[in-house]
Order: sequence, then C-alpha cells, then structure tokens
Amino acid sequence: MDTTELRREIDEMASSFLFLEKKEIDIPTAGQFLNQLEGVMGHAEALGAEEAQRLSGGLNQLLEKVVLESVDAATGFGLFERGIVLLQSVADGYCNTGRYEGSIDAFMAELAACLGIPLEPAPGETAEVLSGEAASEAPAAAKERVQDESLLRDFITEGLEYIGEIEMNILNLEQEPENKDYINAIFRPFHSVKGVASFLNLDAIRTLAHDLETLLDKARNEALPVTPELIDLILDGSDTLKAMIGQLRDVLEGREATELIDTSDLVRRIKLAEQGAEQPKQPKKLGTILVEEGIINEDELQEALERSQIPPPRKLGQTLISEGMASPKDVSRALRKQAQQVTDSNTIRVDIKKLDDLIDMVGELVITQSMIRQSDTLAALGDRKLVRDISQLASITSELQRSSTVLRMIPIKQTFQRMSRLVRDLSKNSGKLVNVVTVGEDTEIDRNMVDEIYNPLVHMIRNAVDHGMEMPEDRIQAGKPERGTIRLKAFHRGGNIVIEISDDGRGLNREKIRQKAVKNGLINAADALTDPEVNRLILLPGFSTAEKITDISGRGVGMDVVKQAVEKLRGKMDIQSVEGKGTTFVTGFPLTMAIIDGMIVKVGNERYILPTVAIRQLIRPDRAAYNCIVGEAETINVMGRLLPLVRLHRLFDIEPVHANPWEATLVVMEGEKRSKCLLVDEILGKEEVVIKNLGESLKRIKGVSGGAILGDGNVGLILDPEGLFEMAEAN
Amino acid sequence: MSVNKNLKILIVDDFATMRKVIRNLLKQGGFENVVEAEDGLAALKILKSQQVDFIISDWNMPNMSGLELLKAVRGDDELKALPFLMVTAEALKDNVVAAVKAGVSNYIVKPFTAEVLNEKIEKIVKSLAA
Repeated sequence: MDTTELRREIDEMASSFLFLEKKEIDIPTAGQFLNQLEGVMGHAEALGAEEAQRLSGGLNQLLEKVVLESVDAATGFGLFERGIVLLQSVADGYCNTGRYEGSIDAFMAELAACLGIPLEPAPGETAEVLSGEAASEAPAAAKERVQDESLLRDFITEGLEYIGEIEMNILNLEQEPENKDYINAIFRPFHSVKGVASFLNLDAIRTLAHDLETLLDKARNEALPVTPELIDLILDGSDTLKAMIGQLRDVLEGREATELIDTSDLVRRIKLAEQGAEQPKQPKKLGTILVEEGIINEDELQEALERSQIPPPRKLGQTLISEGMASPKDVSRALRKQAQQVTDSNTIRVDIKKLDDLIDMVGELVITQSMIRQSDTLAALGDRKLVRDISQLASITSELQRSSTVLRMIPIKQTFQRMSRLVRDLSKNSGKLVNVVTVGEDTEIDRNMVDEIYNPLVHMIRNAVDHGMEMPEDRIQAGKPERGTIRLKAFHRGGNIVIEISDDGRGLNREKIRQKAVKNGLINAADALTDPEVNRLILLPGFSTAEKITDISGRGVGMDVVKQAVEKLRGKMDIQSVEGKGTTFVTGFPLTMAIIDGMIVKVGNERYILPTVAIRQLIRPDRAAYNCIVGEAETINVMGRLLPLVRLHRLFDIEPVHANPWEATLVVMEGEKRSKCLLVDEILGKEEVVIKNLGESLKRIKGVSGGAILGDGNVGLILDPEGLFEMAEAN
Repeated sequence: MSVNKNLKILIVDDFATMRKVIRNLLKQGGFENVVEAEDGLAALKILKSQQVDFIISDWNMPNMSGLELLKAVRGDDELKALPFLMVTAEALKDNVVAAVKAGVSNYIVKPFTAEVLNEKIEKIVKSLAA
C-alpha cells in the first residue's frame, strides 16, 4: 500500500464526479461515492495520512446526511465538489513530499457547520423520522385515508396471527437470551404491525408497537440486557396490542366498543426500561467460539485462560496466538463471529403441504409394492431372484415410509413452552408461586397432532394451577416448599407419545369424590372401588355438575370434556394421585393421525377396518350366552355383563355367512360411555393402515370414519364404533 | 415525459396486509401491473422466472431481508440494473446508508402517500432513462 494507490482512488472518485450527468447527487450516486470513500478512509488511515482521513471521513458524513435528506441536496453537492478537489491536493501532497503543506481546517469547519445544522426537509417529502420521539406524532401525509374496510380486516387477522408468534418466540428467548434470531423474530411482528397501523391511521396501536419495537431494538443491539422483567414487559405489551386489535375487530363487527385501553402505564414502563440499564454486554466468549470451531479443546482453553491471568494480563486471543495454539486468522475469524453472533442452522424450511404430499405418496408406494408382493402371478412365476429383489424393494419402501413420517415430526418443545407461559400467567393471576419443570422436550410428535393435543393439555394445566396447587401460605403450613412445581414430561412408549402433567399440590380427596359420585348417582354407596377407580370417577360426564367442586380438592371441572377430546384423538388418559402430595395426569396420544392400527374383519364379502384401540375383546360366545327377549334388544353375556349385540351385516345390509352369534365372531367394542358386541363373520388380521378421508361429499356418513387401501390393493372402510352404536340404537 | 404505467412492479413484504396497502397506493398512481412476494427468497424466485421492471421491498423480513435481496439483485448479472426502492419504517442512518452502499435506487419511509410513492418511482425511472 502506498500513497499512489490512495491518489489513484481519489482521482477515480474525482473523475466519476466530473462525469456525473446531472449536477446532483442522487441515491445511487451517493452509494457509489460512499463505497469509494470507504476505501479511501481505510487507506488513509493505514498510511497515517491524517488530513486525508479527516477529510474523507467528513465527506462520508456529508453524503450520509444528503442521503437522509437532513442536508439540502444542492448545498451538499457544492460542498462535496470542493471537498474532492481538496482531497486531491492532499493526496498530491502526500505523493510528492510525504505530507500535506496546506490546511484543511477552514473547509472542515464549514463542513462541520453544515453537518451540525440540519436543514428543513424539502417540501413535498415526508418528514424524516430520525428519533423515536418524533414518530409518535402522526405525519400529516398519512392522514389521507387509505383505510378501507377490507384492509382493516386483513390487518386484524394478520396482525393477531403475527402477535401470536411473539409468544412462542419469547419463550425461546427466555432460554437463550443472547440469540439474536429470537429477538429479531419478536421484533419483526411489532415492526410489521406498526408499519401497517401507520397507514391505517391507527395511532394508538402504532405508537405502542413502535415503543415495543424500540425497546427490542435496544435489546438487539445489546444496549439492554434481556432480563425476565424485559420479557414480562414485552409479553404485557403484546397482550395489550392484541387487546387493542381485538377491540378494533369488535367495532368493525358492529359490537359495542369497550372502554378504550389505557396504555399510559405500559408506555411509562417501556420508557423506564429503555433508560433503565446500560449494562455491559455479554456476547459469547471468544474461547467458547474457538472450542466450538474445534481450533482448541477445552483443556487448552483453560490452560490459556490461566496463563492470560499471569501479569501482565493479556487478552485470551493474544495468548493463544503468541503460544501458537491458534493462528491469527482463526482468532480474528472467531472475533468476527463473536461480533456477529451468528447462529448456524443446518435446517431448511419446507412448506408443510409439500411434506404431507410426500408422506401421502410414500403411503401409496408402500401399498403398491405390497400389492405386487402379494400378486398370485408373481408367486406362480417361481423366479427366486425376482422374489428376492421384490423383498428388497419392500424393505426399502418401509424404511422410506419410516423416514418420511419422521420428517413431519417436531419436538414437543413449542407446546411445552406455550404451556409454561400459561402456567406463568395463571399463577400470576391467582397469587400462587409455581415453577415449571419440563422433561423430554425433544420428544417428537406429528406436527398435525400438535394443535390437536394443545386444548386438552391446556385444560389439565388450568386444573393443576387453579385447583391442584395450594396458596403459598397453605403450602408452608403443610410443610412443603412455598413454591410449587408443575412437571411437564413427554416420552415415547410404543407407538405413542405419553405426556404427563404432574403437580405437587394437594392431590385428590378420594372420600369427597366418593360422596359426590354417590350423590350424583354414579356409584352406589356400597360399591367397593379401588383408588385408581375413584380417581377416574372425575372423568365421568355426570361428575362435574353445575354446583362447582372447588371444595373437592378442586379437580373435575370439565374433566369429562378433556377425556373426550383425548379419546377423539385416539388417545388415552389416566390419573394418579396421592392426597397431600399431588396429582399426575397421564395422557397417551398416537404419534400421528395419518396411520391407524386396525383390525380387519370380514362380513359377507365385505371387509372393514376396526380401530384396535376401541377393541376390548374378541370372543365366540356359547349359545347360552346369547339372550333374546322378544321386543327387546339382543344381548350377549360377556363375563357376567350383558352387552347389546350389534349385527354389522344388518347395519350395512349385507348377506352374512353366519347369522348366529355362536357361529360367528364377536368384537367387544368400547364407545364413549358404553360397550357393545359387534357381530362379524371372521377376523382377518391386524394391519397398520394409512387413513384416507373419503372426500367432502362422503364426510358425514354415519359409522364410517374413513377409508384405507389394504395390503392387497382393495379399499376397506374404517368404522367408527361410536357411530355404529348410534346407528344400532336408532334402529 | 411520463412514466410507463405498465411497469411490472414486484412488491416484497412478509406482511400480506402491507403488500395490499402498497398495491392500493400503486393503483392510485395508475400502476396496476403488480406481483407480490413474501420474502427475499420468494422474490428472487419470481425475478428468475419472469420479467419484472421495478422492485419495492420491505427492509425487515424473515428468511431473506430486503438488504440481502438487494445485494443478491445487484450481484446478479441479469438483474443488477433493476430499479430497487426500499421501504423502511424509519430513516435510521445505519439502515439507509447500508442500503445506499449496496446500490439501492431510493428509499421511502412508512407511512407514505400515493403521491410520494409515485414521485419516488418517477424519479428513479427518469434518472435511469436519462
């Protein structure tokens, strides 16, 4: 690097200036000069050419101001022209004599004066908003109404959706407060909402979104630490925004407007938080980055850290370089990385629809190959190589099916995080102190299941906090820690995901449950019930009645609804409880709704698929077990219980092979509140089938929940026990 | 000389409502030949597959920000001359200067009116034609 190079750069800039077509610096031109100036500034600094450095720095600032329209374009043009000429003579001086004889002070003073006094923006332009303060006044230009109703509706829908995303990301942020991606993901919805609100003249919304955005921007730039208080504030802010947008919707839908939401307190808190802390930033340590990069190992790092402490203390990077443990390049790269705090991600985002299609196609593939495998023609050929190849194909396709199903699996983490948020809110409202512990967050579940299981889980959480957990003073009296704990645990068992929600609250009071159940006629006073049976009473529909039950250790509010929701998803639910120690809800859900474990049964020439979860028993009864009283329903005595007989052939109008129960096979099936015996000709086997819906027009066929292609390529209908029962009862 | 109102304009913003707002404003200015993209990546896809004459892009978007899109456009031999108008919420110095250095044609601050938008487009298009 020498001075001629610097002069060449400056001359280049001067000539591009000379050849400007119009006597003005428009934005693209300014960009070009800014880039050139960056080079000049760098070189001038490297050469120690002080005047060139100051001058180019000043011109750089000037151009920035011109771009931002805080310096009038014509003034800027004139100053810039003179600056370049001056810069050229400075460069000449350095080239010829190694220094500049003249003085640039007079020009610099003029430049400083110009930069210091921002000029009025040109009329017709929008007022430039350079500080947060100014933004709270609505620019007059925006007053022109672009507001039409459909835009407003779009804004409400999309805005609420965006703010909903904040919740999820904020919980991520709480765990990794340094992750810029998370901050940015929270920042963006506020930003977008603000942008549109400004166009729609929704000043209150815009101002609040702006304040929150400013706050987050500070966090992003590490001017503010991400503390729990900050997170609370952001959550409160997003709740308020949601409420404000909700109000807007009410007004739009002609409902009576509720009282205006007062944001003054919130705004005050935001302002306080903004000024609050100028705490030192804590980026990821250099050593950590180097270890992650594999340049040094943990032991070497410790060693180097200790040696850096030996007086005179040096920086870790210096120690590493001087001892030859890392190259200057490695260290500078790590430093850069530290500055950027980039988080690498080896993932790509794929539209869920594409995945669904893929999984669907793979399902078809599995069926087709199994059709080929079962083909009689193929067996007759007796070609051993072909048979071997086909079985190879079969194992590959089933592997493919396994891996494609996994694609749609996502960790239960997000659901758990949303539930943690819920516990937080609920406990805050009720004055209880509750910690949330999550276990097995990485347990995976089909994305399509996530939303489905959320509601029942929320209900259980609500119960756990509202009723299971005691107030702090009660807990102390009971000799427990003041702060209660709710554990969310997920793990895989068999083909299911098991989710446990346990609290260390007061537990179920079985005696009171019994009394209540007797009173409501669910059991007889004389019935002997085991503890688990008593626990399960609260899941019965008749249990939670109008007069509320908070006195019975609080459980039971709508638990029957929860149970039904769980069962609709083909899941199961159980309760464990120790009085005084706590309660655990155990729910098990299938990992996916796309595949069902089915029992294939045959009636006449038809084959049907029964969901295995609903099957209790398969029996061939004695003749004596069959009862038919004239005018009454047919019943079968199954181990002492009289269960109604449902003739499948009659429901579907098929000619059966066996009409007598004692010659046919009976499937004992469980519906929502009752069990019945289903009469079929024979059981063909058990198979995992891919569920296909039957299309819009066949959606509401009673007794049939879907269809599936069986191993031999024929279609079988999947039966819905509850629907069948209803059909039978209607006859 | 007036600007050809048949310019094909690509609006890039992750917020659908915002795209609609800009679309409406463009319509007031007589520009109706508009396509939309929800982020930089989607925008590039469109730019690769069809002829676009003008880009209006938001700054802050997931996946690929407006600045990254701008850099990608300027770094692409076929696209580098395309007019690129950046939409920002505030004229924050760092943002604007970064965009200017990356070769943005102009920028516009939210909220803006149809007139201002129109002016900016005309200014850019005319300077190119000159």
